[in-house]
Amino acid sequence: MAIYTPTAGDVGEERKIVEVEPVENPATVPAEPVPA
Amino acid sequence: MTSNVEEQFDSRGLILGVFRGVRSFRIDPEGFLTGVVYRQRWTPGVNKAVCNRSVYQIPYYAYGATGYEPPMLPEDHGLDVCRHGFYAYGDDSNDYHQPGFVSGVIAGWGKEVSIGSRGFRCMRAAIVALCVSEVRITERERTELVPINYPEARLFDTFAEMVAAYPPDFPEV
Repeated sequence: MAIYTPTAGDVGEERKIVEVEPVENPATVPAEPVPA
Repeated sequence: MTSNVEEQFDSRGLILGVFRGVRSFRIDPEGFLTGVVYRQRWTPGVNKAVCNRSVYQIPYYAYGATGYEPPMLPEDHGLDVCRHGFYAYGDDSNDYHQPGFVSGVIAGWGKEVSIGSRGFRCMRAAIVALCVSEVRITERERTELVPINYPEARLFDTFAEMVAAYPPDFPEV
């Protein structure tokens, strides 16, 4: 088993690729902020 | 072509919605945000990642003096064979942040999004929120242009407030 050593700027060990499809236009409808 | 080494990854699937992550930006002289490593401008609205990597693993600056233009990887090659894409991180993995850079939250999505243990890479992204007030005072003239250039981004005074309102949101691997 390879030992993973993170380096500055990478996103860590990548083990999964998925398709992510917005349900609304993320460029015009900012994600709702979390209520305080 | 999307992936040719699929077996390296645990699974693939469809997720509805967008991922959120934090990242850093440089500010160019016109007050537009650029990447930290690759200084291409981020636009308001949807940003589409492109890959400029050649089929050879040679740094781009090695070609400069010769004028040689190496063949590029196929336009639609997958994230699993290359390191391209927009990078975003969990709030404790934003290594690039330093005084003078703008921190922000982006929404990320696309046909392929690679999920890592510290963040994700994606092919489509939009700036959701920005924290320009923490940029050092000598950069103020340029930072004043940022809200004008990115009117859809919500502005915050501190990184902590921004992350509290828009916490990183992507699956664990």
